[in-house]
Amino acid sequence: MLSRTAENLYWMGRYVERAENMARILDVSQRLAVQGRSTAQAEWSAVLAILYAEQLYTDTHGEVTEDGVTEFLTLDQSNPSSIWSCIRAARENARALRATISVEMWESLNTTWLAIRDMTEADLHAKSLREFCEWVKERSHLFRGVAHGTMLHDDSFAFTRLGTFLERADNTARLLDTKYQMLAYGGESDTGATYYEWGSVLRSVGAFRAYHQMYHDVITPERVAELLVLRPEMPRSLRFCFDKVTENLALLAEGRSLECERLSGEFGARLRYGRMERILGDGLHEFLKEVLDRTAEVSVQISRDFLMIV
Amino acid sequence: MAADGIFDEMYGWNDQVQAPYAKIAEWLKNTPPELFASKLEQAELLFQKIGITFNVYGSTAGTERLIPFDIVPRILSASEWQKLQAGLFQRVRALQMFLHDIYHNQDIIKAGIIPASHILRNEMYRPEMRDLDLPGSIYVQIAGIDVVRVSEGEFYVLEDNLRTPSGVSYMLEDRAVMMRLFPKLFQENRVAPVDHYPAELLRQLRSVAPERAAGSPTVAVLTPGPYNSAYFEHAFLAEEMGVELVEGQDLFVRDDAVWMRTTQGPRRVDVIYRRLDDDCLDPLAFNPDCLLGVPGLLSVYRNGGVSLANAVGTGVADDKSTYPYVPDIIKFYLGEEPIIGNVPTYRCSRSDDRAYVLEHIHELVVKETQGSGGYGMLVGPKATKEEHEKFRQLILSDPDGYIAQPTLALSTCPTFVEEGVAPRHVDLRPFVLTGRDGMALVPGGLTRVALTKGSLVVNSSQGGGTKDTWVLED
Amino acid sequence: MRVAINHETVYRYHSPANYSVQYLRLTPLSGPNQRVLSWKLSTTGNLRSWTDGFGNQAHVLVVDNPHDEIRITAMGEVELADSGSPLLSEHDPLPPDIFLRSTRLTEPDERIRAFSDGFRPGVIANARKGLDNLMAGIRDTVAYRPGITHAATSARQALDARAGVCQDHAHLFVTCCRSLGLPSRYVSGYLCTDAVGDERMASHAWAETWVEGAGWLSYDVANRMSNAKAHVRVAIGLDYLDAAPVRGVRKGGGNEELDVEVTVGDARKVLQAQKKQKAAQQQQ
Repeated sequence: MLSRTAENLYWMGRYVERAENMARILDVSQRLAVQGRSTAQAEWSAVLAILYAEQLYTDTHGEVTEDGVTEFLTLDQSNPSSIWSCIRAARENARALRATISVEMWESLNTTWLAIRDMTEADLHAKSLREFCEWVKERSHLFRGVAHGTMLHDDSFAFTRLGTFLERADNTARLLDTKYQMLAYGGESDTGATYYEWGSVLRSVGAFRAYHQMYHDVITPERVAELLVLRPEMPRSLRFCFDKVTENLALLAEGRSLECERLSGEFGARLRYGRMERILGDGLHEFLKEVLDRTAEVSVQISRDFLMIV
Repeated sequence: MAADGIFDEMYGWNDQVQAPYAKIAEWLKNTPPELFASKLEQAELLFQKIGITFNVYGSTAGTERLIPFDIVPRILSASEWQKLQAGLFQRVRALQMFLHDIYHNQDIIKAGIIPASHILRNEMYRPEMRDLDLPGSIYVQIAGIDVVRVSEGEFYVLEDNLRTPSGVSYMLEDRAVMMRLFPKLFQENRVAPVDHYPAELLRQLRSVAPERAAGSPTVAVLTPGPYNSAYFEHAFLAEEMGVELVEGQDLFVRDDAVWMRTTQGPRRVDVIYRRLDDDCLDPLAFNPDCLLGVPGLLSVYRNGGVSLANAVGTGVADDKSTYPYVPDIIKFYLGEEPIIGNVPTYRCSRSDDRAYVLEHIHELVVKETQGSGGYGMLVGPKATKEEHEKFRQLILSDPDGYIAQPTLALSTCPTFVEEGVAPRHVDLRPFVLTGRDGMALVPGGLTRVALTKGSLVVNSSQGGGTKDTWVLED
Repeated sequence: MRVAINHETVYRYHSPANYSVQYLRLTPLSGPNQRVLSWKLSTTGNLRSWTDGFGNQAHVLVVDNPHDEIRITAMGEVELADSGSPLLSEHDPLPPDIFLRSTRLTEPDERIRAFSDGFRPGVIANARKGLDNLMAGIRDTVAYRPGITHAATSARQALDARAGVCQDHAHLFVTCCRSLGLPSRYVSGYLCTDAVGDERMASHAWAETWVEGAGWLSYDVANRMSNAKAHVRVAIGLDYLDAAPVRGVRKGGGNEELDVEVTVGDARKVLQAQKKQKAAQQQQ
């Protein structure tokens, strides 16, 4: 297919996933800000840190406050990573794809866009942040479901999925990295606090119940990390994401040996055969930094191998 | 019922049902009006679903609207069509030779048939095409020739469209919708099929590929993009032919070839069906501010590395100021009398014609030739005295810029309007295809109908509609 | 006179460009007034030759890998006839009348029409004299001053500015001639600067006008020279855009810097200079 089409599909997938992840991060941050040991300010600063958006926020909003950060991440039209901007970008990519994607897919994105386009802060306060985030997640689920149900599972679908899973890997790594640093270095285990904080992290990725099904035990940071890094059953784990990326790249490569597939597969092997104690021993933070570098590398290589970027 | 002095396609001159319409006349008589109304609604829904809309220039931000479709078909008999086809083939064949000649030896100018200045001063004549030999010497692979009827066998060519003629997607979709709505009609009337047009188009396009691509040439449709009013047609044809729809940014030039950027790497394109104006094809050769094309394209074209349909520079042949010469062109290159003639035309550049026009302006339709003023058209019988005077002045100040034609009594065809079924003026645009293996014409074409009573204006942008066009098989 | 030419064009980009395509008109052809003895065009990238509708020898240069510089060198030797004779129309693919049309850069306005009309009686009476006067008139009105106009300046704008370079003088002359009903075309090429003592003009533009009965007469307005003798003709067109030495676009590449170095000199002098240099080196 045309490189431009593949590019549109890839970014459509990435932006929808980004919007959903943004909603999840916002949701858990709000819970923690209310009940956590750290101050609300620290919590909201941490969010900006996860997103590498501290500078942009300071330049445009100044002081860190809950309202400020919330607005910045939801409806701020000048923030390219706000939920508003992500949905807009996703819809723009879909519009260029109208000849390729199904009518239902277009309509699911277009309807989402029309709903958020004119939303104001007042509208947001009228609901609650939680309701808004739920809505974003629902629209993202709908999009994925419609894509899965109406797209031919061919190259178009593969490019969309590539975007989805690379974005998810990137976002999961960031979330885990910042939370682990903030929470784990808090000192001795304070079971009550740990339960709430890590419980919120699990809820933000929809894995609270999954954790208990898997571990039948108290929540420990190490096990949360393992669930989100290594477990293949967990759809938001890094392992799962890299497996999917490699799988889709193999499909698209059609027998050619491409650098992007090699890069993805190579890292995927480390996740497949890795052991959490080892990773924690060597430093989770360093490991997660490597994940971010690797997803960026794969993304650039995809451009080179498929998208003939000029 | 037919109006005075106007030939109605169904009722002729004297309320006598014409043979080709016999069964349709029955159908109209015997079908309850409510059924028609509901069928019409169905048709609109179908069109909306297909997405065949029309971006209206100048209206607020890309509003899309449906072009009205009328369910009474316009019908031609097999023998009428034979004559039309012969006339159209003859005309297009002569125009190809004309284009080749003016970009090479210019014999027609040397023979004094057409003044040199008319060709060389015409903005549409492209020096860039000088001495370039094209595959099969074919300049116009797709021609849309607008034809009108004034009586039973009497057709005239109203206008030639040799650059980027559009409308064939309506021809195809109108037929598809009619067959869905009224399958029985197609059992009772033997109507020649049209849906092989995309296959035929693809075959013709492939046939003009450069030599080195022989065997399996790659064809692509080049569109300005989704904001163009004919985008639906570009996408539709690309899909029906099974070829890629590309924009300028998807293509690049290298090694005397044009390539598409694909996920499998660069893929060479051999024939480009381009729906871009000449001026936008290559910013390094034409308008540097138009970024819709492919920089470097002209160099590949001149080296024979890619074929363009239609060729660059065909506008000089479909210009209104060239139109009066077409009968001479047919005679000069083919040694034949035109089978289908021009509408009688007065050239204001000629003094005797000009004198006639100035005196009879209230009876005539005055049209601008290429690149004049922008004052539009004057329909003499319908205009005010001030407008007559204004056009007299315009003609005097720029005689070369105007031609005039008698108001034609175009045929009418029964059409569903507010008061029921009533006659409305129609024209016809058949699409003539030319390739190295010969010419092809799908039986039918786009019939445009002026929906306002008495109006002769059939353009969709000004309130016209379309009808399915039937050619009956004998 | 034998002329040695060295023309180097360098584009530099502040950040790498990914893809660039240029049309080059850097290759002179032999004709009645000049004979190309040797010519070499060199550059890195994908280079293909082609001929345009005006008969110019052109090239297309494609660089499709990341690059921050494009360097194009054209050099060679051309023998010029002692006296330039007017070109006749059989030397051209296109008849003279094609050069009556105006373009965006050569569109006349009221001022240009009025200006040209002043020379009309003279041109009707005696074409050559009349055109010489037109040339003088333009040159007197528009000073030669680099830095005021640029490549996209139209004839109208140059007249308004009353200053420009050879490209503007040529555009203005061409526009006026067409306004007077005379076919006229833009010529791009090289000027042997020894003849005029101004090295800035090595890469040069002038005009040719068709006079019935005589042929294409050349007018170098910037230097007030008709009947070009020290000029190497490279390309013709309706205006600068048709005949430009380099015309291109690129994707990516940030800010662009263009460096052009042209030396055009009497070949014997160049040879003597080279011999002197060699001798000096040997002595050391």
